[in-house]
Amino acid sequence: MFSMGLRYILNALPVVSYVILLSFSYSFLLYICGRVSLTFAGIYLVGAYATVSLSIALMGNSLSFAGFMGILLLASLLGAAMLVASYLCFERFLKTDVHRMVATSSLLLVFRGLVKVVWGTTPVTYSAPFLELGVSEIAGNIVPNYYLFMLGLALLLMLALAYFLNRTSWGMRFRASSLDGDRTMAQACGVNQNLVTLMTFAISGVLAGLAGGLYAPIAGAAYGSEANALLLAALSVIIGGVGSIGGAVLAAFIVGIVRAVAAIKMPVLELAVPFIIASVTLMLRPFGIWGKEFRY
Amino acid sequence: MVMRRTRTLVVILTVVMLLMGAVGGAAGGEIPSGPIKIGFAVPMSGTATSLAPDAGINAEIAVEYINKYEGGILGRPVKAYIYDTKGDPQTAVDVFGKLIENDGVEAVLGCLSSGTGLAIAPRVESKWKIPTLLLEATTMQMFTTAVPNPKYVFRIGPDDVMQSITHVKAVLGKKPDLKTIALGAPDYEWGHDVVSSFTKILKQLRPDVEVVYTFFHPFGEASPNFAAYITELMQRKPDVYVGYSWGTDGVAWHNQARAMGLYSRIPLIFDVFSGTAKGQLATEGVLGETRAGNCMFPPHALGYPNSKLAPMILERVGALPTYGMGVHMLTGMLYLKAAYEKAYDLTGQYPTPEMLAKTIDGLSIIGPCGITSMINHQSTAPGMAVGKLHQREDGLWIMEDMLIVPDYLRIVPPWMTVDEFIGKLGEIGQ
Amino acid sequence: MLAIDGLTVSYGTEIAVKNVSLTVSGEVVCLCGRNGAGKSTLLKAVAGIADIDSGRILLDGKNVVDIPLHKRLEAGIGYVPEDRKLFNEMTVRENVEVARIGARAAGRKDMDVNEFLPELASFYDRKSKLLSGGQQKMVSIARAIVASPKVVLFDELLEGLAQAMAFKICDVVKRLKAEGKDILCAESSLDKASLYADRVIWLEQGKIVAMGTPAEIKSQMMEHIRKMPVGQDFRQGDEGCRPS
Repeated sequence: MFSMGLRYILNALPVVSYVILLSFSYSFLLYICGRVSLTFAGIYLVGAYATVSLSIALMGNSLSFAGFMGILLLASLLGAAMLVASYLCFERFLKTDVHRMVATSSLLLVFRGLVKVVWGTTPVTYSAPFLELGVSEIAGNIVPNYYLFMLGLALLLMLALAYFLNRTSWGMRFRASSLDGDRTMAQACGVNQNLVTLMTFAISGVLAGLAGGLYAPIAGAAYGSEANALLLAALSVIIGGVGSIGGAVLAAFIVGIVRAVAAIKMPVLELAVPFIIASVTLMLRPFGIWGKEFRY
Repeated sequence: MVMRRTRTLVVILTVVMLLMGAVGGAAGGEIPSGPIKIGFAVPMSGTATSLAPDAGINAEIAVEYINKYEGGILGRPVKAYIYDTKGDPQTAVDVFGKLIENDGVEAVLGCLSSGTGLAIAPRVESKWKIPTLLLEATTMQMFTTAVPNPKYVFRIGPDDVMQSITHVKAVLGKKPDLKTIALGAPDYEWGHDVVSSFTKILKQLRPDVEVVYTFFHPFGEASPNFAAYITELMQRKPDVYVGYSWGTDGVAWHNQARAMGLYSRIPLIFDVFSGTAKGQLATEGVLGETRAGNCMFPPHALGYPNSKLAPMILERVGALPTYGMGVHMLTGMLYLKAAYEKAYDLTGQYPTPEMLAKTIDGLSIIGPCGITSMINHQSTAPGMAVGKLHQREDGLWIMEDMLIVPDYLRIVPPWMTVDEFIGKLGEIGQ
Repeated sequence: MLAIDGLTVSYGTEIAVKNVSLTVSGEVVCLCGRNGAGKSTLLKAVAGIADIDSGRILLDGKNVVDIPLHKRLEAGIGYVPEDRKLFNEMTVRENVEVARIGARAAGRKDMDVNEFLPELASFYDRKSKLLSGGQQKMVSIARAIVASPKVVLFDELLEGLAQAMAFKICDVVKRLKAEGKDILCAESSLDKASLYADRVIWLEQGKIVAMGTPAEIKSQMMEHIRKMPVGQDFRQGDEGCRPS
């Protein structure tokens, strides 16, 4: 029984890991800047393709772990640069949530188009890290080490962000500007909101780009995967609550594990369960399991 | 007696030929000058592309081969019109319309998925009326309900039952002592069809084998995670796993199963997709299939036509397909060439589409898969093969220990329904 | 010294503050008037939250109009908003810290808010959303004064406070004045203003209509206030409803 439960958890790890990063990318922007933006899903897609292309170009089919880490870093920075550019050129002119919702969902299509032009629609794969890191056995269950690496990296990043937000003076400025604080008063207290917004977009871009890059060795970079990513991230934000790091991690585990269980026990429901959980969460806790009610 | 009959025949033939010459001249029976236009409607984007990598390039190669090594068709060079169906039925209909109505092609080769095939076939029969060779579209509905009495539609790939019988026979042949088996397929019509016919046929041939696990994963979901199925499979420990994941699913399945060590934990794996794409997805020792004689025979130095075709494919695609659009396309082009030339030989006229279609049926050719015949609009080869994938020292993936399932065990006779045929397999199949 | 010279502020087509000039020099000045008279808007303009149409805002002779909002505190203008607007999920300490580091570049000596507001000590490490209204008001004041600004702006300083707390806050204001700060407040109730203000400026439809000590204004304006038609307070575009 324990081994069975553990198996579901282990199987869910890749999805859990990328959903942690991606849902927090979405929720971080919403929480700190009060901005709805779906562009992160496009960044996710670009991050995946960039990682695969760069890896194949630089390493062929072999693996240099340091090289792969470097490429992940590049993909993250590319994500940050693209999201900041998208803010500077486009998103900052969007003044209401309705505009942001409509315009960024269209922007997502632009990113899709961009990916189509650059890489085409055929999925590309670079599986070396996944294949060559080997497997471990945990309580009788086989788990690829890459799963553990993914989860470790995602959790490490979340811890770093938690430290940044709660223990540093810049983090304090971010929290003062967030939905939990007061953007105008933070500014009146000397916090430069332009800088906070740019930094938030950059961090969100790093998370989205990394999510794409980390998951790509397992499932390839596939045109169209951004839709699924967007869906799982958005549902996880609903389940976990906006702006909560703990909530993002918890929700990603819930969504990932329940999907893994459903895939075996009730395959017809596999794609539907995240929706069901999100609906139940909305009924019981409208602001998510770990979320707070915002004056929004 | 014999002499008289021969003389009569000669007289009749002379008259006929004179008449034909006159009629032909009046009707413009001369071979038109300029290139002959052939259309290709193939998926070049979407989920199917990883199954049919470089489908457009394969079309170009088939045409280049015909022009370079076979002297074109009736001495005319072939000009290819190649469009992307995206694997989508509506796009396929649009593309066919464009090829036939705008570009004025004389024949079309195309369609990989059953969905596109089913959308195209009835329109070809009722509206467009030009010879159309479906590359796959293997659904049983094609010649039963969609176009029950085809005139213009032909199919090169095998139908689902032919596939399933071959798969069951191959698995039983390669592992006679198996006790348990597991099956996995994408969650859509074809996936359910092949799993259900496999299971039915297995029950007939080996009622003692237990199916311990069957799963259907979401079809064509971008970037899927199959870990749940893979660990469940490893837990159930079947003697054989038969996998039908293909396209983008196939790529992901392959990588994930390999990383988690599935391939080393299950004694025998038969993976439809394994031998289909470029070599990087193949795994040593896994069974791959060749689909109704669509196996490309290894390119012997003097072999026809592969000694010329294989280097072209290797150079431009970088891998030799065992199941390949390139193989399908060249097979189709060779049928067309033979039909044009036979029709012209018989009548002295440049064939109309109807004449061409009538000539294609019943033709035999030597193609990339050996002697291949078009019988009742379905192309078939002496046997359908399953073999172990093996990478040669030069890097080329080939199939070894090929097990060839003969025709009489695969082709449903016209006096039987599919179910009746499967029901009798137990009696004749052992 | 804070000097406002010909200040005009509008929201869209509606002019909220019309050509107002006034000075605050070592005293507590309180803007009074009905809702929508332009009191809060004037404070927000000085704080940098509301954009101005024309006019000058001089702090010790230096025009601060072009200084962006996030540099106003550093320039010496502290602002205590009407409904406190704290950073709810943060502790009192963090609330104060944000303003302290935000204005760090100013080169002035930080105020020791714990010494100035000894009451803070008992809840300094609690989350600000858990505090009572009066405690929150104190945090809001601490946040505005920690960077020792030259001018402190209070919007509706005594609104919603219990009597004891109101006295305490008045005391704080007086002590700030004693420290040499210029203090500009807005209060809708003349009675409340008279608790702490040296001078009252009566605004009506964005214009100054009267100026004087609380007692003078009371006697001048009483008749006028009585004649006001009921409901006039709640005309459309009431500044209390405008987005800030």
